[in-house]
Amino acid sequence: MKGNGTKIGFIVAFLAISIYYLWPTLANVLEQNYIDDLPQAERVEYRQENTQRLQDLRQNSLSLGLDLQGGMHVTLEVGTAQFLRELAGENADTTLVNVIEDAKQTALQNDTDFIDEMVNEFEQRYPDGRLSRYYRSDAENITRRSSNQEIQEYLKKQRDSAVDRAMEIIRTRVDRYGVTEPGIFKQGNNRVVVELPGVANKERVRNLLKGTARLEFRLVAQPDEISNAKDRILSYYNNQASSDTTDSVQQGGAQNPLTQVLSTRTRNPYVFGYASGRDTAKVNELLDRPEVQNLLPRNVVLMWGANAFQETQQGGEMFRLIGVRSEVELTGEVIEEASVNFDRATNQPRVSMNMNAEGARRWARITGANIGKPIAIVLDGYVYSFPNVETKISNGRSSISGLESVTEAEDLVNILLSGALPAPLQIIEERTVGATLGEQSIQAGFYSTLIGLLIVAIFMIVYYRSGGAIADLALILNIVFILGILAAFKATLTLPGIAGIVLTIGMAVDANVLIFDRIREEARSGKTLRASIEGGYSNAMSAIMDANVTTFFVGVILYSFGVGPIKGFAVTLMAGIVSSLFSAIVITRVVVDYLTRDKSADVSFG
Amino acid sequence: MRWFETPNFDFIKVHNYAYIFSGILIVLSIIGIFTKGLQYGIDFKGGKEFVLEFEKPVNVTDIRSQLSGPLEGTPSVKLFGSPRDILIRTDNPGDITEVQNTIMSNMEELYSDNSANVIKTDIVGPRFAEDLKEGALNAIIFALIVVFIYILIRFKDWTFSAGAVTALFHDVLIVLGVFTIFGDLMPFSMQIDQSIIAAFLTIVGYSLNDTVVVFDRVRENNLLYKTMDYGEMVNKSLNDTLSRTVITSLTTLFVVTVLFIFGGEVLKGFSFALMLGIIIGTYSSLFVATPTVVELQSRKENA
Repeated sequence: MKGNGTKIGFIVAFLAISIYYLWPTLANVLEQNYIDDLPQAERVEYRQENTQRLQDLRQNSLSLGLDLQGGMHVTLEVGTAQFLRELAGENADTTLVNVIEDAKQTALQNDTDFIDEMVNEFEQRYPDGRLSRYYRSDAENITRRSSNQEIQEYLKKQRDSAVDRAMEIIRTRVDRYGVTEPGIFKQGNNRVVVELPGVANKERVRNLLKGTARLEFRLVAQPDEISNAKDRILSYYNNQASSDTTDSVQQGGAQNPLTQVLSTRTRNPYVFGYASGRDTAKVNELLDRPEVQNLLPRNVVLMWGANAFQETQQGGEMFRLIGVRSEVELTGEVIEEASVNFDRATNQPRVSMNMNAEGARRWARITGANIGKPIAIVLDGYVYSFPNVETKISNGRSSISGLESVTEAEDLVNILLSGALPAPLQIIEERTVGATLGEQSIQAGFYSTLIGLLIVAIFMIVYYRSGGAIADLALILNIVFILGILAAFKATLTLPGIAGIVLTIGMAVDANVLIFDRIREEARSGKTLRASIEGGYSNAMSAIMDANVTTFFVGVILYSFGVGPIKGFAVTLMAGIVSSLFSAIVITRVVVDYLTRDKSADVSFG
Repeated sequence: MRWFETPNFDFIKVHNYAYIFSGILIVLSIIGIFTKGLQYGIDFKGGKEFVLEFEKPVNVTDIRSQLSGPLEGTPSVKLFGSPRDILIRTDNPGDITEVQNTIMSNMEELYSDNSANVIKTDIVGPRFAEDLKEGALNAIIFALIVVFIYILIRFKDWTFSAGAVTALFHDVLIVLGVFTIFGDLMPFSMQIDQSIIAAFLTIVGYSLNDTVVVFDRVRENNLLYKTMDYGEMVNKSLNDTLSRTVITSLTTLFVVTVLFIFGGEVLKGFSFALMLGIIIGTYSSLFVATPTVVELQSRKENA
């Protein structure tokens, strides 16, 4: 009986803390039920009157993982290779590009840092070479004299800040999109994890996240340049088709592979050709060959139109391939304001933009010098429109038309205003769970917990009688503690997390099984009940500790290597071990001691 | 109620049969793993998975043949719990949105009066999958090392560590074998993904739990019965703890079975791995881990 005062104190304290942390969760559930029961009209009013209180409750509640509440989880990777190329700017040459490409492969294979590999690769190839040839920065004091090691540090710093900036930009975009409580974290040195609860339109979010929003204004190529290049490329493929005899025998005549996928007879002199949406990849492949690229004038590139310009009878969408200049006249950095409005003539949505003073000055010069000629508005490598310049534009205004919908226009404004990403982002992992599936999972988890608890509780009472009942009491408190720990540490409850709780219910009684079996053993050797209890608890201790410490280790390992939902499992497993040790050893002991306080008392352990 | 009040089974005597039994299972598992290869799930292989919920039941074969052309390569199509829910997995490298649109337009074509909803998607890039695989492998190796060292420190005898780790290998290998060989026959996904790795590590923890309790008793009895033959003493320890071993295994098996039945489709593979693991783990701590210790001890003494 001695010392039980402290034990009781601990139990009460832990229980109080758990309830304190779980209170908002409970209140939130009750509040939601209350709102659901209200008539439709009163709901909105009630919500408005209590906005702040409801929000606080939700924020302090035990948060549910995306697999339970539905939503979208995306891992984005910053394209370090391209970032390093672009950071070198005009200094980049084939040497650097090759080094970067090779470093990319080795870094992938050995799972090492990309920048370390790049510096290694460079030094191996050019023992006396200096990276300062490529990278300079006045702000960071990187000069021609900087050593490779200094450059290495500088590059890492630049990459880190690029990832940080990317995160900031993503946060702005997500906030503007309107997601409640999004999660945005950095993972490793070049990855960003974005968690968006309750997001339904995945396509929109994808474009929003990875849209680099590189807005460019380019001149369009001369009509004769385009038609000459077209003739050269067509005759190249004609020659190739006729020399390929095996093909002609099988197909009964030589076929030009390019004209099969690309219609080259166009009315618009700036359009190289057009193709259906599913053929564009094939066209790209045919045109990307180095020998074909050489047939194009050096300062001309072919770019696809962003949206279909017409539909075929079968409902296929046709896209135009437009010849534009490779030089960029003006970029989106000069954009100060952007907004959605409608074209008066066509009633189509468009994005109107306002440039800053510097941009407006250059825009005036560009438009003034190209009256009567088209200027292409290019976004992320696609031509949105190439309107003819009618007059010199000196007020710094421009607009993007050719947009499919108002939402596309709105998202574009969002992307333009939140700034261009410092490097392209790629989605390397994406997981979404619908809200209904999440709800089903919550229900499944809840019933599993309940049924599991019931079966184990009944079994314990049948097998250990009153001892079992005491263990059951500890078990129920145990669940309260686990949830309390999760709430206190602001952990997220996931479906595997619930599985962890269910598993804990089965394993938590283990400590009590060890103790009770030991008590029975002691009793068999002829000891009194009190002595058996004393012996049972103390002798079972080392086995209980060993068994739980090892399982706890496994939990720690799972936590450090696992991702997302698995982490949730590891957390509940660890919380379960800690709280089940406490409840199985301390709580049952206090109850058993209390019940056996009289010498004559009898507690059955079955 | 009392089971195994004062049991007196001779575990050590039958250990040769147990070795043969375990040996057969392990050899079969290894053959299965080598001939069929580990059946990696999306987490470790990469790819795109879509779960579609239809209004009415649908036909898996029809969907598969409908999608084979447009997705360039036969996708894997399975039921996801109910006959209205379908899991489609494809290796098509195209853009996520495009692949999803292709699937949805083809489903509309196939079932014009039975509309579908995407309720779950998992897209994992090949490089990310590689990272996850590496992480999982590290976790398992790391867990085994930590276990070995902890037992070495706690029991101050490498034979205990060796016995425990042998049993763990045994358990994980057999569960892995079952998943590889019977993966296609089960109505739920038994591919190896992150949650299965979590299950494996839990099995490691659980099986260890059992083994450690027996070892603990061996250590205690070793001090109490100094004159007793080592094998006999170990056997007594196994019998002493038998009741606890069985009861804990039962309660854990109860809850895991509940999870398997009521936990929903997402947890099926995970809870099935745990069910198998608990049964095999209990068996291995009785018939593999402890006899291994006895054998190693007698060799150590004879050497």
